[in-house]
Amino acid sequence: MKNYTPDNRGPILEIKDLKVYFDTDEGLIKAVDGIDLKIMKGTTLGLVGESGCGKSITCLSILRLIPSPPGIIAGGEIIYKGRNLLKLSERDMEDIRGNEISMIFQEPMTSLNPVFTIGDQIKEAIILHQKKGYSEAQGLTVQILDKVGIPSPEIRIKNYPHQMSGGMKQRIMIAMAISCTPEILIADEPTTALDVTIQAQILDLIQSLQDELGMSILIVTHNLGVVANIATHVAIMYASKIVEYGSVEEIFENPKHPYTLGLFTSIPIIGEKKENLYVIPGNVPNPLAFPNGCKFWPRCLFATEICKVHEPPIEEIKEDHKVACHFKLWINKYVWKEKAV
Amino acid sequence: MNTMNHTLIEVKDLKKYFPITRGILSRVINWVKAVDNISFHIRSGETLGLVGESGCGKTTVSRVILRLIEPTAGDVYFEGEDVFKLRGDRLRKFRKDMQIIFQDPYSSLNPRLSVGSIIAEGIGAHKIARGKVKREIVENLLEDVGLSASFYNRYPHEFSGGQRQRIAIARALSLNPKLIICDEPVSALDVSIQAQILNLLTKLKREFQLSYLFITHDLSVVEHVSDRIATMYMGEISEIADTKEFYSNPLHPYTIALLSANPVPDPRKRRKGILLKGDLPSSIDPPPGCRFHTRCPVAEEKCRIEWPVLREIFHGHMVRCHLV
Ligand SMILES: Nc1ncnc2c1ncn2[C@@H]1O[C@H](COP(=O)(O)OP(=O)(O)OP(=O)(O)O)[C@@H](O)[C@H]1O
Ligand SMILES: Nc1ncnc2c1ncn2[C@@H]1O[C@H](COP(=O)(O)OP(=O)(O)O)[C@@H](O)[C@H]1O
Ligand code: SF4
Ligand code: SF4
Ligand SMILES: [Mg+2]
Ligand SMILES: [Mg+2]
Repeated sequence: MKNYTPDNRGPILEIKDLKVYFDTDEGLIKAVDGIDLKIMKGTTLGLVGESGCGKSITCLSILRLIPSPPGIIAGGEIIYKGRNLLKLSERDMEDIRGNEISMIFQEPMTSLNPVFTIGDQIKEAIILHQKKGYSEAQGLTVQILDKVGIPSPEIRIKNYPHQMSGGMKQRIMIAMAISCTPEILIADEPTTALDVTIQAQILDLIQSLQDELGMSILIVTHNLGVVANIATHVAIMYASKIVEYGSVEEIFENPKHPYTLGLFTSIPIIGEKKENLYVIPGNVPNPLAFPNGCKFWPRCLFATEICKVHEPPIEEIKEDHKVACHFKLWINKYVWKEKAV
Repeated sequence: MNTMNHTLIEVKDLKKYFPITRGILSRVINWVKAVDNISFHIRSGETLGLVGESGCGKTTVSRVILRLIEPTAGDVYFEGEDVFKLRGDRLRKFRKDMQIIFQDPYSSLNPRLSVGSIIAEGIGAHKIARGKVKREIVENLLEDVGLSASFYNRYPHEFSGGQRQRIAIARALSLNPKLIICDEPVSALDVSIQAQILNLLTKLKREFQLSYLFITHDLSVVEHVSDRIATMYMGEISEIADTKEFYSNPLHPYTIALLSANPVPDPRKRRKGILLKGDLPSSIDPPPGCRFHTRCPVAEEKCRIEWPVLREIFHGHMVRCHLV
């Protein structure tokens, strides 16, 4: 795969202090609570974190697809090509969706309509977003299926979703998402439901489409192997916040946040067999009752009194590496090893 | 691994074909060869990892050996006894000795039963204990799997995925089994929860002298838990070896392809190219010759015609490939 070369073409998308809340019967859920993220042009940002930490909500906010009610975008800006997406009219937003920014959703099995052929579904997306005529759309559909590696596309366009395997359905989803050659592709767990072999194929496909079309990508995953393989930058999310951000090389070589360090030590790695895996103590906090101060303190090996009171801001420790921890300058993988093993 | 331990289960030439029917008379027009001539054994105290792509027959193997479905052909011996011939008391004892944990901790627990009743179900059915004693056993089990005894009267929906998987493990342990089949037990869980469950399974194996048949498609997880590993492709075993040998000297092209597809969490070791293209062919009409030839990067003319047998290459290392 392509190696990352530092990008100085600037960000294509910038999220600033985004807040997304859900007003539910049980109380206010702060799903995303003041995050900053940048996607640099032509690069891939991996968003990593455990279930419920706010990854999907972050993606959906970019497209303004938060179900409302109960959801509300409570603050922040999402700047794309100099415009704040959160301030656009619904009509302008429709032009952006599926045209300039498109998304592959978490469940490939449920995002295709079972009663239409896949050809009709892609064609419809093309006609809708690119204002193409019927026969031109037909030709484009075959081309695009070919591009995502569906064998004999002229025959396959007549298939219904249930006639295809999980990997093929995911290719169809990608075909629909790239049919308009978007500037940004958002992929929410695009390979979680797939076998490693098919996962490898899909990741290669996304990578080669990026090389060819120059798209910028936001990919959500909880698989650190996937991030290491495809991302140029990584953001680690915990309980509605970004706790660490940096280039993929830097984060994997020099992780700083205790949560990142915990995640890295809790996965089995081939060739490093050990009796027990490290387990991050405790559980993910209930979003209705996040702890005060640093949200990670009840599970953190380094927590002190100040952590329980003051939430650490995310700050740069060097170029391209940001950490949200009071002790970011002192904690590293060596200090971690002594404490955790 | 202790090779002195006796063979707990031996699976011999096992087949399971599912009929495909058509019309109101349900005429059988074809067969899905879900499991086709599988043989392996598991020693007591040992974990055998079973890996392979979705649909290759892993779950079907476990359902047949648990006697949840009838085999088409073949034998299974559990502690020397022919499993398919067991009746009455001996069948009941066998059903205690072998348990299963499923992938999906959401659908595998009855939502209408309390946690206590779920775990106690088998204890009651097998008349092991009643009343207070039964409750005590269940409370101990809850603590063995790292939950609190006070969860007894609560319901599955109140728990997270990891906690539900612990409940399922407690249920499997309740009958003091010898072998537990774990069918993708951590695939649906977050990494930090996955670590908890894997550690728990390791601890229980030691404490209760368990054996596991561990089904997964995660090659890092399977290395972590297994003493030996088998890869399965389209209903057949393509390679079996000791874990160390499996990773240091993989011989079957399918094993090598699987290992190369596994994303390593290290940006300096990015995958270079893919060895395995396309999807699994249909198991209704498997390719002739070697079933893997349609996707094998090193297939030769012979592979399209001749079916390779599973051969022992080194001690305990078996491979099904013409070129090895
Ligand atoms: N009851 C059934 N009737 C017909 N075909 C079946 C039945 N059960 C399984 N099969 C088929 O048998 C093959 C093996 O299925 P099995 O569930 O054992 O796969 P698996 O290896 O466990 O896959 P996964 O990793 O997706 O769980 C598949 O082709 C499947 O579609
Ligand atoms: N429609 C909704 N109503 C109420 N709460 C929601 C809704 N969607 C998401 N949430 C909550 O927002 C938080 C973040 O969710 P999400 O972004 O989906 O997590 P993930 O990181 O797994 O993608 C969770 O606590 C979730 O329960
Ligand atoms: S701020 Fe304190 S509690 Fe939070 S991660 Fe850093 S050391 Fe741990
Ligand atoms: S027998 Fe031939 S096709 Fe089959 S795995 Fe070996 S080389 Fe590949
Ligand atoms: Mg999600
Ligand atoms: Mg299965």
